[in-house]
Amino acid sequence: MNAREAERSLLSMVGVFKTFLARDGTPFAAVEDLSLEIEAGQTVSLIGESGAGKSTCGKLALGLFAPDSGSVVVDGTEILGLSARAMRRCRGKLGVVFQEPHQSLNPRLTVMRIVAEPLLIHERSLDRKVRSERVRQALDAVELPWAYREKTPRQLSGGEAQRVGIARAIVHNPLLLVLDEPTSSLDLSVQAGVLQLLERIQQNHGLGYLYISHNLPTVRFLGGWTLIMKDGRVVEEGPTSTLLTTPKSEYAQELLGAELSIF
Amino acid sequence: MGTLLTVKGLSIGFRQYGVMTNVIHGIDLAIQEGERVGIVGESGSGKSLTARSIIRLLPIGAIPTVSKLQFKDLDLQQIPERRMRSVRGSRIGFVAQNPFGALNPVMRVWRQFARLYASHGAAGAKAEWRQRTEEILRSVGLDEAGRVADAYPHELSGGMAQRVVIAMAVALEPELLVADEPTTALDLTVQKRILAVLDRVTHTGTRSLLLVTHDLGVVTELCERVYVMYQGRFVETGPTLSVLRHPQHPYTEMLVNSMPSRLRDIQREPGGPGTPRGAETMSQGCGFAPRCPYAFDRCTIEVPALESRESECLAACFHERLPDRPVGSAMTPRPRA
Amino acid sequence: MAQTDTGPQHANSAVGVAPGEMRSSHVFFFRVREWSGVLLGFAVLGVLVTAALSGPTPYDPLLSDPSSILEAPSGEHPFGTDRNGFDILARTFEAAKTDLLLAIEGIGLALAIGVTVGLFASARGATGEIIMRGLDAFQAFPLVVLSIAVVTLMGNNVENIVFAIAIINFPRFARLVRSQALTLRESLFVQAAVAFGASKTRVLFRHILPNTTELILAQVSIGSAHAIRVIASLTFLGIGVSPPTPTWGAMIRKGSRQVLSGEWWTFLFPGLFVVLTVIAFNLIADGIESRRVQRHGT
Repeated sequence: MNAREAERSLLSMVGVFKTFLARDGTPFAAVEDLSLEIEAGQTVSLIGESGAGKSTCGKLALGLFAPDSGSVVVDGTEILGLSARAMRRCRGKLGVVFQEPHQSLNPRLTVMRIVAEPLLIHERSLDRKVRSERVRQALDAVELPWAYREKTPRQLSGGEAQRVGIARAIVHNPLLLVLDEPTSSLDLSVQAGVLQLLERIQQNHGLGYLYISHNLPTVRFLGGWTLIMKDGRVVEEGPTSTLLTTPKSEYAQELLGAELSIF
Repeated sequence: MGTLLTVKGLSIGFRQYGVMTNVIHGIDLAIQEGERVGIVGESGSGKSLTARSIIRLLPIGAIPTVSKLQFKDLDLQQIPERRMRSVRGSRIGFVAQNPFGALNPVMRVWRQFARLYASHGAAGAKAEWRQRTEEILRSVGLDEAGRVADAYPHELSGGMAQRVVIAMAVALEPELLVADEPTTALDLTVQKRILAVLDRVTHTGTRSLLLVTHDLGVVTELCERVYVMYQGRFVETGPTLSVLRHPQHPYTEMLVNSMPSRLRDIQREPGGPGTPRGAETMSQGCGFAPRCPYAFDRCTIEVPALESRESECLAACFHERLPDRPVGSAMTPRPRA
Repeated sequence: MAQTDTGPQHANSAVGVAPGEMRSSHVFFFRVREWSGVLLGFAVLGVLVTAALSGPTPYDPLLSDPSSILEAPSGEHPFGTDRNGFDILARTFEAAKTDLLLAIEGIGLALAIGVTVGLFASARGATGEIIMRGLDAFQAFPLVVLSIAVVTLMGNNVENIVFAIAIINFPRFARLVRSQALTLRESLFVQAAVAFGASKTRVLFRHILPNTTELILAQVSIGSAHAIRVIASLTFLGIGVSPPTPTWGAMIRKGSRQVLSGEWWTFLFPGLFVVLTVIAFNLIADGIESRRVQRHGT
């Protein structure tokens, strides 16, 4: 992949390796030789079972760890070795949604303050009125009433809390969202609404999604490109629709064979 | 095949500020010998409480009332706790969601089995028990039975630990196995294997299964009959495939339509962002009315009872037939706004 | 199960209300019962402070009347008089001012130092551990010896009592703050803040600290109870406060000389007030802590 292509993509990870030390000192490879690319409006999904390394991947994309080798390029900028200031600027182009809605929100803050945080970090020059308006737009986008702004997380249901998390992730107009199992803790009926919401938001804002999940039906719904991970390595990748219908690798077939449906 | 378990009029309430509030509202449940029944519902539906009330293991503060709780020849409502303790394990087995919560972390596996035998007054020498333990471990697919028997729980993987729990649950040959979300915490491929184990231990027809889950695929895989639960009531029940493929209650329909594979076909967003906290239990009438696309005035005043529908199903709804078409038929996609 | 929607997390709070069943006055009654410990504690302290500030008797606590020495409790002197002719009731309440003020100042200082040290120690791994071990040393120090040392070095002033209390109590807060900070660092919302680009300062002051205050509150109350006892002990020994300023400890000491001659009112009342105040603080601490545990589970 040449430099010009890397500039077009929102996120580009090439040959990324990350090893951790287990408690007894032995190293284990959390991520081995991972490469992926996400363009505007595109969803790239990482699926795999627990311990496959997909969460670590998400954290590498966010710059929360530095890779041992390989490159992570966000919107044309290599994030390895960036100064704290430059890193923060970079983070302004990213948004994150986590798995546990209630645990990812500060229980002492109001919805307003939670959603406004990325603005307070990245767009400090905004005056209060403008900031308030931006929060309102974000809440609109996730279909929560403006009246909710004074509520605390404890007063919200799981689905509502997750919507607040999504509002927070888009309020500063990022280019890319990293979604780490965003629907895994939600009831089925709530998950449906959140999935449709995520799709709508992506279409309206042209966001790229790095979607991490072990839930195959949700991955299929979002479409795009999928990488199947096992023990830190990418076992197979391809367009979501075909990969999750007729995979070629043995592991992928095993995974799909374990999927249950009502039909 | 006789009736194994009959539950009639089960209600469970909690007392807060001196006022009793019910979370389970007078449900009826029956399991035949050799039958595999599922309870499906989302969080807050009361399915876990229901399963636990059968073996009388309710959380502190839960106040159950039931008009009938008959397990074969035993009236489970009347017998003293001492007797109930011997029923648990030897006649009704229980498997919970977290295997590591059910196993004693400081005891090796064989010892936990030994304790199980001893507490149920089983006679026999240590060598016999050990052999029997290893046999049972093998029967749930743990081929290295010897190694597993010597292990501590933390040395086992999640899947292996859950197999051990299942093994302990069926060790004394109970007639009923109750499983509360047994695979929710497990990976997909591990889940498949555990479900196969559950299939094996209940397939012979001599052991019944009551499976509680939120996963529609899981219940389809194992159970021939299902109860759909919403806010402490059964809203629909019948043969699993009939209920899930041709739902006759709006909630079941919404649940089935919420599966991501269905989302492209349906016209509207199912269910909305979920009911805000506290709101659901404050309305009179049918609990689902606030979210129901077919609700009319009667729905907010009266609570519908379970009534017969087609294909041996029962549904609790004032509509005798749902206005919409059943799951699986194609629909016109909504034009994009 | 990890599902979180239409219903609350655990069965014990799975309650809604049938319409018409719960009037707000009904709830109020139960709420009051729940909070009864804390309310009682505050009530006692409130009465004490108001009385102390407004002076409950016509007698000046600092003026003695040599004509009425060692009079037993009566309508005139509800708590009797001491060997110098002071009205004990007046002095007991006046002493409340001193003792409570010292306790508040001491704990306040301990809080300020403790929180700072705790936050600082939480930010660095190994240095933090060293600091914690240093704190162990502070806490192991016998209070009386420390106070005497402070007084010897710095003079017999009332401020030194405040320092002694602060020194003995700040490790309590430092430890709490540090352990909570370390726990919160692993929590998802802190990770979220970092992922969104929050600086370490922002994380510390906007996310970690606000979630630590509830935990600290109960400790402030317990520390105050402890401080009252410490003040009583130190002033009993004569450290810090000189006559005629009354403190409970000094009054007890003076009154204890009457033990053999049987004038019980000279030492009983100040002692009683120490006990009452300590109980009040403990009730408050208890109430705060059980409320917090009820909400958070740990």
